[in-house]
Amino acid sequence: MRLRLPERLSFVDLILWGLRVAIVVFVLVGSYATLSQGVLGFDGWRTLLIVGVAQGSIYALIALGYTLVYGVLFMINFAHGEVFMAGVFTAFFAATALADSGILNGNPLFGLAIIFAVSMVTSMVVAVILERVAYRPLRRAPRLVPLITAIGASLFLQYTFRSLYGSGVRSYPTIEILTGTFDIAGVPIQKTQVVVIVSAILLMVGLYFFVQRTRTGRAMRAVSEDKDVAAMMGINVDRVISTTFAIGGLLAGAAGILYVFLFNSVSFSMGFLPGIKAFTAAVLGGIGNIVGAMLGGLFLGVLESIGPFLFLDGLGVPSTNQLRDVVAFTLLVLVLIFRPYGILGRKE
Amino acid sequence: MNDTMLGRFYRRAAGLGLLGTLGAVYVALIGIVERFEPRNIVTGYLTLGLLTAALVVFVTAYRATEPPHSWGIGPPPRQHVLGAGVLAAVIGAAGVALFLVLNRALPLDAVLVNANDRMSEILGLGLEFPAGALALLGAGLAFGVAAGGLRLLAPRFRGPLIAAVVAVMLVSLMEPFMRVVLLQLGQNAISGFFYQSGGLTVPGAIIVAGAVLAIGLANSLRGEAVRERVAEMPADQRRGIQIALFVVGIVFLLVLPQLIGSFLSEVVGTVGLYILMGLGLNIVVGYAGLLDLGYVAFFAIGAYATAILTSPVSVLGWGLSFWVAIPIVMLIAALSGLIIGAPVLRLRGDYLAIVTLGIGEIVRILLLSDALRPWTGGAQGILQVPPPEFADIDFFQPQNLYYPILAFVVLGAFVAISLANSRVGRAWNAMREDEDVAAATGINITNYKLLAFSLGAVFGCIAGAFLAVKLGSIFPHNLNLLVSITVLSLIILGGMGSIPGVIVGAFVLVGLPELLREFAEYRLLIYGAVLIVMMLWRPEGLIPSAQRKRELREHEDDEDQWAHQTGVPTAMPAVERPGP
Amino acid sequence: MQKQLRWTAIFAVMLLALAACTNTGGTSQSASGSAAASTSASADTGDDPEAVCAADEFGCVEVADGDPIVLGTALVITTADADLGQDSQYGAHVAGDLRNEEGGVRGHMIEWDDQDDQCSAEGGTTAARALVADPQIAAVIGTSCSGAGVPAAQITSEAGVTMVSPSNTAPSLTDPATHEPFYARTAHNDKVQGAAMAQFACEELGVTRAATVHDGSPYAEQLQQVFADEFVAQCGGTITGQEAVAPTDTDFRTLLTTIAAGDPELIYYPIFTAGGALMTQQARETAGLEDVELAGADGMQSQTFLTTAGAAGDGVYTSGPDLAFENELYQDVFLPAYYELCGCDATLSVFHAHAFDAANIVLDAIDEVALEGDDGTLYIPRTALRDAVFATSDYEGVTGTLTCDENGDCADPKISVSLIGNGAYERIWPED
Repeated sequence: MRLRLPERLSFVDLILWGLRVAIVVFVLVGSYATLSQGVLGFDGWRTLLIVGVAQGSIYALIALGYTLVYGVLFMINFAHGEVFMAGVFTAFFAATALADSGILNGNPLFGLAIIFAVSMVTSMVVAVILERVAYRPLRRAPRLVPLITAIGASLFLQYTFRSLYGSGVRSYPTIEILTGTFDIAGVPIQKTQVVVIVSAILLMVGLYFFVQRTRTGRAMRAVSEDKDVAAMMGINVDRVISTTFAIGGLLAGAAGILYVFLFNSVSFSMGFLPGIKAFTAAVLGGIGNIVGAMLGGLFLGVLESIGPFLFLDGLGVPSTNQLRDVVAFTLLVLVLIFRPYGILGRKE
Repeated sequence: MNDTMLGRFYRRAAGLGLLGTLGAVYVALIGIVERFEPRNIVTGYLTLGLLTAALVVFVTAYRATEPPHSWGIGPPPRQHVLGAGVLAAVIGAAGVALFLVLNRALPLDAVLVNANDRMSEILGLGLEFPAGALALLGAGLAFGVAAGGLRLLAPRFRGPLIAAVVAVMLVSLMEPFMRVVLLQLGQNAISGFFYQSGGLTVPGAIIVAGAVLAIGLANSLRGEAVRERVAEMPADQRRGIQIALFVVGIVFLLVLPQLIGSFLSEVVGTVGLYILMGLGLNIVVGYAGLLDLGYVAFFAIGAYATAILTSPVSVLGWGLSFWVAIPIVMLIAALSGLIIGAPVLRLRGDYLAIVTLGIGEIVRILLLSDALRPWTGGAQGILQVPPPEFADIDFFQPQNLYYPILAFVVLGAFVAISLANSRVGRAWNAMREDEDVAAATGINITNYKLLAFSLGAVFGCIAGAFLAVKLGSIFPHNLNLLVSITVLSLIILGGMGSIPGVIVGAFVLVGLPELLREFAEYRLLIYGAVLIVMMLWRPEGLIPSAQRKRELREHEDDEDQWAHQTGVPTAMPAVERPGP
Repeated sequence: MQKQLRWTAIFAVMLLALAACTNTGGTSQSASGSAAASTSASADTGDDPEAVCAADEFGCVEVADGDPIVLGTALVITTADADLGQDSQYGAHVAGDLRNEEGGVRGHMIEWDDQDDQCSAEGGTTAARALVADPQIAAVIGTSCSGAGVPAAQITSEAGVTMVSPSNTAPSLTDPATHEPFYARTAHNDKVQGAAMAQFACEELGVTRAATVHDGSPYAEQLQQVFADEFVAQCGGTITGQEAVAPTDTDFRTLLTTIAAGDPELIYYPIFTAGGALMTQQARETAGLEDVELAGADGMQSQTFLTTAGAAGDGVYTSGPDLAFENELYQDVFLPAYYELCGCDATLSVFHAHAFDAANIVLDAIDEVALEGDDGTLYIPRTALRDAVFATSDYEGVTGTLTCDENGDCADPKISVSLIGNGAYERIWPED
């Protein structure tokens, strides 16, 4: 954080400094008050932490989609949350069919593989079509134009899927091998949470090596650095951009299934909030930065889970859980205002 | 046209035919066909449900009959125009028929909620299964011939013909509105002659089509001469006509609520609130170029501030008069604009959008939260917001509340127009086009941005104040992101920076759905589509301001612009425009 | 042929049932009706329609000979809550259809003008304005949501149109301080249901520590507040926490962990199907909540809740109106007609019976107060209609025995609690 005082304190600087001080005081006093009351024991905090990490790994996976697209196109794919929703909502029907025919619990690995495949492929297809139809024609338009298109695409996809699949909330069939708990170092942890965290880490590591080591990954990095030079080096920029959207879609599709492991329910509007929060995570880690997106996601997940209670409960605020999204969005606002290049990003 | 070109032309027609199938099937699967089916266009002959699907196929077929400009060839020979139309329409219809077969063979409705028998029946032209699918092919052939024939008509006949068909649809869709107005005027006989069961009667449709056709033909044959004569008129005479039109407009606005009755006044009042918000957001987005997705925050703040100040049962319990409260609300609005605006204005365009979205959500959650319940009433809201008081007029009646809303809309439009043409407006223009250059010429960017933000906030808060008195109570549930999106959509539809555009946008996107209840279900889908289509096809909006049109179009020839704004060095690889 | 037989049977049963209704409900109505309506002019002016209409503050609805009587509905029939309103709409329409088969009310058929309250204040305003703008609308069944009901009640009352809601539960609507004179409802006031659950919790379950959760809907917020107040006041219990979630939330684990820290014996979360089912499942998995009783309200009484919650749902208590759904009128007359009308084989939501009763009360009242002119025109004095609706007492409807009080609460105040076991609701309290 910049500590150098601006030469002339303008109205805006005054408000910004007021904001900083207020937030710091608020967080410190709130945390102290909550901790000193000691309502929640060690076990309680640990549970919150695990819940936060599990939730955060899903944010991280979705955040990768934002970061990849931003890396090559310098645009916020506002509709990425809907890409996430499209896959898992479609896979719901595969999952129900598999459950009804007894395959899901008879041969769970095969069943899960199919569900993952359906979700990831659907998300990928939606992401690629989205890029082709809505974004490619606008690559040279002023910056606001593709952003507004993306907002439109987000609404359009949400309500298309609502009209196609219905507006109700559907619940996934129970997957028996994922019920119950693991004992890890004497601590019982939900199997689903372990599976989610491990799978997310595997996917992220896989992506990291893909981008660093493979030919396509190098092409993506080249396009992200300089499209012109990349094109001269014989890279098909259009194809690389399509691939980027496809990879973002695949990851979002996988994140969708992991989300269902945790929360068991799908609906047309399920993508919107996770989408915005994943964007927060991407910015938090430094947009365009893959490792940053992972860390940002985890941080946001944990903050969201622990924050409301830790900061607010001690201050006597009722129903702190209701303010969870306020904490997440406040973090978004603060990061963008004070550190728009993120924790790991470099100042432009 | 040589053979290669001809092959390409037919391939394009086939592609468009497939697109037609996809479009028609999409429309059916999202339920529009079935849900719009009860709505008559020409009672007894044509319903809106089937028409939507048919229109998709017809429009794609019509597009197939003309090669795109970029090919640089003239119109193909007549037989090929017809041929391409028929090919596209038959492929389109055959695709739909195939879909009917699929829908019969597979249990699609287990996944797609609208893929039911009723939908199949409507798509199959109401006939039994094999007959319906076959009849579709025949209909495709007829559509193709019609599309080709329409293209071959001389433009001066084609325009009026299309206008006549569109007019029949529009006049029919406006049935709920027209019926109320005619009822209000005591013209039940006219209403009964033109309308029956929610659609036009056959004689009604013929009269509407005939009238529009006649006017259209007269216009295309003689219109040029008339326009020339007006242009040749002496300046003072033209001015006289302008003043006369202006006076007629004012009188019309003043007597409008008496003509249309209380229900339509209510709808117009709602549209008025959105016009106010549109004017406000237009200052922020259209003039200053700041994409604000949290505009609803100001709407909510205005509504709650008014409710808290005027309701006798609120936490303050002051029970102030609306007229006393309004200046206080405006002050609160300006302040909240400053406080919300100050920290976020240093952000780049897309980050600003996301941050304002976040702020909008924060405001909504706080208003609903238990934490602020002593002030806002939580989910129970604030009740007993009194209507404005003035000389014994009951402003709870929408016909009366219309006037103060109208006054504020006129005032707002006046302020917006004056600003656009003032030094401030020019500073905003400069800032929007290039912040760095503007700053270099001595424009204080921060102050001008803050001014735009605060002014926008004031407009939003006034709209919110009227919402509170209009409802007589205020609840947090509908003050969400969708309000922001609605206002943004209406600006985009009308044209960024354009005040007539805001008004037209508000009537189309807010007024129409109130009247056409079938559309309520698809309101947000349509908003989304409006945003995408407008950005791809006409980013300057339906009624563009000259300034914005120039800006948004010039980039198409300006390679440097993208690079300049994103920090990427010049020249992207040439990207082909989409299109088969 | 078969169809004809069925209709004849339905018709016969219906006639019997209606005869029973009008006998019990009708007579007492007119008895207390004239007492309540003594302020209105009907007593002095006798049966001369013109004089009655002139004396009535809001005049009369005039239905020409051969024209239908038009009733309005203002229910949520689009968006996410469409099932709720559609269900009530079918309920009301069935009441009209049954009358029509019988020859209508005073020889006039019943027709409907259906508006959408969109489950919001804005929607309620628009729908109510559309209805009161039509002078032919005799009365309104609506609204679905309390938020829509607040402005709609004000608008209809200013226009003198009686409105009866099948599903508004917010206390403010019938609070003497804020009650609008032409508004009544057949749904339960939240105060009744919240208090009943509090009583059940301390008397039957014997718990002394409870936590509550609401989802920010006016309904849930009110219910849990009433529950909390009564739980403390009536049985000296302790509320360990009052929490809230958003209706779209899916993660309740952090919330439940913090609730568990307060060590409650019961969690009361009167929220809706989707959130309720998720919260039930996650509560079963949360450490520290293994022995906690879970309780909800009628928002969680649906087949969807049972399937969504699955095995986790077993042992959950839900409160709801004590519907005498076994009665013949409901099973043999109402349900077949409902299924026929909506083309479905299960009811969509829970308030169709309330809507059916609401429409019947209104239709009986019209039958009672309407006057016939010399030219066959039917005159329905608006204030007298309102008074007749409010004078309803001991009306045997399908939702119980309904009596309207002076603030418009007409519902039978009996609440029952069901326990979920083996994927079904079983009524366990009160015993009678």
